[in-house]
Amino acid sequence: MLSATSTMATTGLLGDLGLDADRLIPLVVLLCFSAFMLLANLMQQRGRAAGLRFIPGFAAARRLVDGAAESGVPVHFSPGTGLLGGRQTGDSLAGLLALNSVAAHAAAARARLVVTTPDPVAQAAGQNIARNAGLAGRAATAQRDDDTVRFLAPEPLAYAAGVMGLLNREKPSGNLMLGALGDEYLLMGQTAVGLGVPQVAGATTPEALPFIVATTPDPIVGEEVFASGAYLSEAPIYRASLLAQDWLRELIMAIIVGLVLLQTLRPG
Amino acid sequence: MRRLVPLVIAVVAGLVVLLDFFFSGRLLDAAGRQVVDWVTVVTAVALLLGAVSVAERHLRRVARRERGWHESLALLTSMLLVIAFGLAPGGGPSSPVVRWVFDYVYTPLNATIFALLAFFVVSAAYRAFRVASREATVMLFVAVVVLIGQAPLFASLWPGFPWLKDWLLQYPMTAAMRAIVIGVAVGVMATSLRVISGVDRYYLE
Repeated sequence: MLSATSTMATTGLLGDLGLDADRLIPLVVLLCFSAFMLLANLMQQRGRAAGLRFIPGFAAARRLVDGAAESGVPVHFSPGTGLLGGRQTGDSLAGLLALNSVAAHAAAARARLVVTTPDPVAQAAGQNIARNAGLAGRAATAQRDDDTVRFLAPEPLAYAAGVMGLLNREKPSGNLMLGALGDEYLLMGQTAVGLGVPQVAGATTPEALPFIVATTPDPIVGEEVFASGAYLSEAPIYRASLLAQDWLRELIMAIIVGLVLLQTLRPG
Repeated sequence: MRRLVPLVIAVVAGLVVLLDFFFSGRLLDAAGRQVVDWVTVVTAVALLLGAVSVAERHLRRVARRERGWHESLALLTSMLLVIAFGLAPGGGPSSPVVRWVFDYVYTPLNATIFALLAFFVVSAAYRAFRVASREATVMLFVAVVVLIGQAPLFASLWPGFPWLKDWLLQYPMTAAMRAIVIGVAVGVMATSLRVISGVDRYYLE
């Protein structure tokens, strides 16, 4: 009775605030995570953050770009088949963040990069990234914007067909794919394998992971895709963000284990 | 200024949509709807620019007779034809000609590309078998067990096969999928927060 009364009171209070009661838990998680981010950033500034564990996929990605610099043949990068503004916006942003780090490394190593995207909005963002890195636009040694960052097609399968054509025609020195990828990844990944193009791939979607494991020696799995900023650019904010993600994951794990134990040990 | 204005727009739009997700109120709901409408308009304009970029690149390839220029010519011709049919009087996306193109050209081509996946799966499985890494071996073993578990012939040989398949799908696979999904959700939250708070601004020139 008391519990029902308190639930009604809480729901009433949330209603007064205009907060949807169903969204209370996501809001609490978001606030927790924001606090973790601030704390991790503070620790990072004071030099107290932990180091990073080794992820072979990111080391391999660096090697691909270095190899492109040595051979003079561009490396192909795809930020996945998700669209900005759709359900996979976060995953696509992770792909663009990876592009930012790869482009900076490519510019430093004087390697050429060819980026393809299924999203015209991501193309515009990608062209800005390439220009900022000095790979495209005004710099004297730069390529044309639309040669560096190419929009192929908005449908995943049509995009995959476009990438297969590019891999066959231009034979890049490496194939880097990081972001939201579905079944269509296999068409692109297996084409690269058939051509002998070394590749590194990582997907945020579980459907593509078996294909990635089968076609890539160093796969980047799930949440590791979001760590590209910390691993490839080593900027302090990305390390802090990674640390906060680890804390939140550990908290969620502890809650799941606690609830399972409670449920198992509950009498009756 | 060139970076500040787009950054302010991005931060404000992100905050409005985020607050609209959690809270309701007349002004907030209207602002959230407005931002989502703008996204549709911006995406449509970007799609137009993307089409222009594709056309420009392929025109250049045809003009320079680069390798595969025939394919570029086919792309430009089909692109122009569909646009012309769509813009013709009585046309539009639901006109009979455009629908015919989608039903009898685009959809079968899409299905053909998708059907190629079956052959690519076999090829990738064979490669995984040859490479014999630890992960690939486990994956192949599980794939074979699931395949066997779904075939009635093997179920008649040993009834434990369907049970083993169901157990693999329900417990280890579901657990792994959920772990990946939770990890990705946390990653999405971190990435979105950085963009909304203006910390990530790499997408601006």
